[in-house]
Amino acid sequence: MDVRTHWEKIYTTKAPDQVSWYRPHLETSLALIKRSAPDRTASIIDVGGGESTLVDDLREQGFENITVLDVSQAAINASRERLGERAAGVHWIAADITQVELERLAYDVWHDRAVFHFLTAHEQRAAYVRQVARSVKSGGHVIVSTFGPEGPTTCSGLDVVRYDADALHDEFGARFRLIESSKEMHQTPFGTAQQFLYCYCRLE
Amino acid sequence: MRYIKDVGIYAKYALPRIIEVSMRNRETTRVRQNWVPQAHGDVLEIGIGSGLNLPFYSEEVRRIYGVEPSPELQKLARNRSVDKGMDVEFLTQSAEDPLPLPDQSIDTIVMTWTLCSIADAPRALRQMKRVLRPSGRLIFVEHGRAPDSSVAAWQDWLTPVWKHIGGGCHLNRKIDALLTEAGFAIDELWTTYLPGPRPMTYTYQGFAHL
Repeated sequence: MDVRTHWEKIYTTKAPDQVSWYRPHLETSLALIKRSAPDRTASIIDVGGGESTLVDDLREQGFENITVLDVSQAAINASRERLGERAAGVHWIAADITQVELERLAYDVWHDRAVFHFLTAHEQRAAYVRQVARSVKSGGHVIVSTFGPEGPTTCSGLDVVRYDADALHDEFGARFRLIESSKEMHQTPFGTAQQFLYCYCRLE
Repeated sequence: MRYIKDVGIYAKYALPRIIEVSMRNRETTRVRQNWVPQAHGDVLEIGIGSGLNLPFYSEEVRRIYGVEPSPELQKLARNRSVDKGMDVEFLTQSAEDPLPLPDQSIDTIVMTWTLCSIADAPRALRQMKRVLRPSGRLIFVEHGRAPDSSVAAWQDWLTPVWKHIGGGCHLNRKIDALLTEAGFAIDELWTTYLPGPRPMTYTYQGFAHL
């Protein structure tokens, strides 16, 4: 099953709060985005946004220039419907992040919670990093969250790669200056806990 | 008679200029810049118009066939193709009519702000399907039906009148559905409102294959 088919199936068969990564609000992500965005017109992309409510919270905070990308059109449709009229200013992209041609130097803030750890092949990770380096403005910020060293080894039936801050930063390279990293215990809707790692970098 | 003659002049000279000017703003240029360079090989542009995409084609393009029923718009496009040093073969016809191209002969079909104005869109898409190679791509940038019911209601209400002043342009077409119903599989779909009045600016961008 290819990546798209897998995620279309997940998002068409499961309710938003019946997936392990669900959280009513992404507090850590939101705080980091608010810290890194120069102002409310900052251009922000949420990669693998799925049915996450981050876009709702960003709209609520007055951010005007938000892009949500997900490989699943079903997830995009669900988020757009949930937002209703508030979706009007949002750019929606249904595409594979390792293949899409995003506009050059388009974003001030790049956010990804739980996409990068699914990239188990070196070429996929290289394509992802190239994408970030190409489409984020220099001086822009990159927030990537993966499973931490004590996180799960699979998710949604797929293998994942776990990272500590050094290993994750190594994937991105020296142009990305690591400002801060933190670990978070995520409580899944099923009552279990998963360790997530957040890395917060500035693209020099 | 006078009235009819004026309409003729409007359609022949003024309308192409209006289309040219209304299509050439900063935002649409940015969008063209993002998609047109992805075309390669033998390219078929549906509704090449005044050739606004021509500056953005890359070296990967071998030749371009440009479908454009209006000779006036074609003339503008021809000038642009000369500036760019590009070999464009113009097909003076509607995209609904049989294209004088063999089956499976095109690598990339480019269609930007065009499908709205083709009276029988499914018929045109059938032609595109016939000429596209199995490995080929249809790149599309089209405005169409908005997901917000309030905007869509305006689009339905405005379209019958708008069609007459806007060169046959329909505001309320659901582009993704038209493509999939015609047998295309959409690989990427970008949707958003571009700046401007919402009934006119909800935009579907992306590419599809057979």
